[in-house]
Amino acid sequence: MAEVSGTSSSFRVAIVFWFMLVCPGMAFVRLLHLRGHLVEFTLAIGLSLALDTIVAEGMVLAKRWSPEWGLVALAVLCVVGAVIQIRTADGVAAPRDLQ
Amino acid sequence: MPVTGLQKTLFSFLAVVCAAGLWIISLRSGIDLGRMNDLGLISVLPLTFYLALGVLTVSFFLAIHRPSTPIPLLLLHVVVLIAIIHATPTILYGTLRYSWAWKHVGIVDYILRHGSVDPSISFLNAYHNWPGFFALNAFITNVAGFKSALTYAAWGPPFFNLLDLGGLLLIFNSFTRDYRQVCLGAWFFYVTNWVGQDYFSPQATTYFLNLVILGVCLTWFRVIETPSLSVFKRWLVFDRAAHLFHRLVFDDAAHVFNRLAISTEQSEALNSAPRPARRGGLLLIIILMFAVIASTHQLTPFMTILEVLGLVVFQRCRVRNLPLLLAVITVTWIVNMAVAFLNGNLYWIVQSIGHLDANANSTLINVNKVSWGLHMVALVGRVLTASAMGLAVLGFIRRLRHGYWDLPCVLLALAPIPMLAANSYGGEMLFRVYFFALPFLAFFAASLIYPSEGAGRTWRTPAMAIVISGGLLVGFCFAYYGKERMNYFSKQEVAASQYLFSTAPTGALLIDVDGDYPWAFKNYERFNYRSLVFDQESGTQITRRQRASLLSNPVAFVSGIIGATPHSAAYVIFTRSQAAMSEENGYLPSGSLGVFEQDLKQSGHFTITFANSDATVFILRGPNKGGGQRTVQSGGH
Repeated sequence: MAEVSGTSSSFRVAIVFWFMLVCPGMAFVRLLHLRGHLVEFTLAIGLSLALDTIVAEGMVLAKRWSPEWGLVALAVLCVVGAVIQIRTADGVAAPRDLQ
Repeated sequence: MPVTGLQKTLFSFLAVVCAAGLWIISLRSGIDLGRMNDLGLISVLPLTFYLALGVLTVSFFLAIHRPSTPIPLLLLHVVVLIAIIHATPTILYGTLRYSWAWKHVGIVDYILRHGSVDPSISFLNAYHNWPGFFALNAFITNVAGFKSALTYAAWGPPFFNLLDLGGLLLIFNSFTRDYRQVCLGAWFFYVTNWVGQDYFSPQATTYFLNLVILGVCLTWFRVIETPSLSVFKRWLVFDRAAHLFHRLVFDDAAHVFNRLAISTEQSEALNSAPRPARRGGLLLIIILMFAVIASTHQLTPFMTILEVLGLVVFQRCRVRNLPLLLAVITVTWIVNMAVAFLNGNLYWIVQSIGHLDANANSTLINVNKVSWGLHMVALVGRVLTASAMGLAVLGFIRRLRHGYWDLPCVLLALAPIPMLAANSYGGEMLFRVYFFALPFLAFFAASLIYPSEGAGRTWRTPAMAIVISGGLLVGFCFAYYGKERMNYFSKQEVAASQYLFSTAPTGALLIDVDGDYPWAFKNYERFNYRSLVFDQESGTQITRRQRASLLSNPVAFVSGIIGATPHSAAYVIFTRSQAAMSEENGYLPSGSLGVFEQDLKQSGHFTITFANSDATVFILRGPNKGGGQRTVQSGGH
């Protein structure tokens, strides 16, 4: 939304960095039900960087550079992860791992 | 009235706030960066900066000694340490540090303009063959609405060091349940990590991913039960070797190996296995992160493979096919996407294989040829490195005496060493091996202070630890900040570069002294580059004869370069940072650049097209030379 609306730059920058560094990875790391917020965050950031890079590299190597569509791809990944989280939460809750 | 635990915790928190306050005061005390001498940034940092580090260090070790200190408060000390040592240059300079970081910005700029990379490009082609980091940052730059990655690139060191903290804690928590070892291991990592690979770079990104991969392997993919001897022999091919070669030798070797795996494992049984679904998810995360490593950096994939291979062979990671899978990913990328790079560089890659001594020594500068300051900085760096290793060895021995083998940590500390025999990596392999081994050296150094959960409870422990850490911090400040006179670029120098890279026409020849200025960050592929003190083909220093020729007649030397290189215009750029680089490294005598500038000015062949207090840009006179600039531009004041 910050990207589309072109809202103030500091706000946009904060949202963009938060989204790209945390959201895609956290959408899937939460499915692992790991114990410890620091552990979750570390894995989430690592996975987010990986997914962001894969999307970006895909655009570069395919010579189809479109940051807007890249952002949409990441958003779709986040939605997919969130939907899976909701559906698994509706079922039997899995106990958290020791780590 | 006795002080309660809560009051002591509050005291520690206030000490952290005090340290941070002292640091902020030091940053606002009017530091004159132009006064830096050959000892770099430490020659101009005020006393309050060192007081901040001192207060933080004492507070940390007093807090860690107290069982009631909350772990988040200990980690807050480490975070503030990271901020003080890594954010200080970012905040003080206001410009991007390290000339090589500027060319990384240039690759991002290339992708922003072209939307793709060109693996067959002749200059800086390695980055086009491993474009992961640059594609990522082009993506971020576009999405965030920045014109250039320069907007945030300077924050690379504090950012990547904060990221690495998460990876380190994940790894250390797999080695021990003693939070003191974990937190102190992280602390020691940061006070000994002087090699400066944490800037805006592919290797900083892949280093973090490497740490996370190791943390996942160590935490969730531990071998639950060491396999039986017969399975061991079959899997490691000892039985086949025994059949083909000497039965007794290989049978005995299998027994010893198996006993080592079993006996060391008994002191490590910490975690239980995750469920299959979770294992699958974690494995997928490893594969995705490693795929990014393989497409982002040339060296890190091999380091990761060696580390994981060591864990698998010595029965510390149950995913036995993981090293093979990682190798396949790496080779697949190289064969399909990095062929252009290999075609042009296979010779020097192959040439350095097996030359361990040469590969290690190519990293080390000849301290007899450099300035006194750089000499001291280099020696302190070596002493700091040796100290980190020495503390690690002592820590390992102390842990052993307390009944802990820490085999995974030993394996990971030793795993990077074979890379010394593989390649010189442009003269940097020794630094990189130290960098990859450092987390595990730091853990063992922490084990010297806290070898087990019951140890280190007397007052002597924090006293000794403060002395050790204080010594390491002093060494760190010298080693990490010692070259800042070369690594720092003033706003005037940046203004000169901005002018040069914005106005030079396509095909222009840009001549610098030694490359130590903000270069190649904009439209980089449009220009040709030459240096006065480095040979274009080999990248090594010019010969003594060439140097003598340069010093005796710089105008003729420059004209020779221009005559030999096709160009639409020719520029020569002199900067304060290049003067510092050449003088400190002994490339040129002190004051040479001033003489060169005078000679060029008086020759009548060159005009000054841009000048300020820290930089001068000359343009070759004549027709079709970049629009015939005659008036002098100045800026950056």
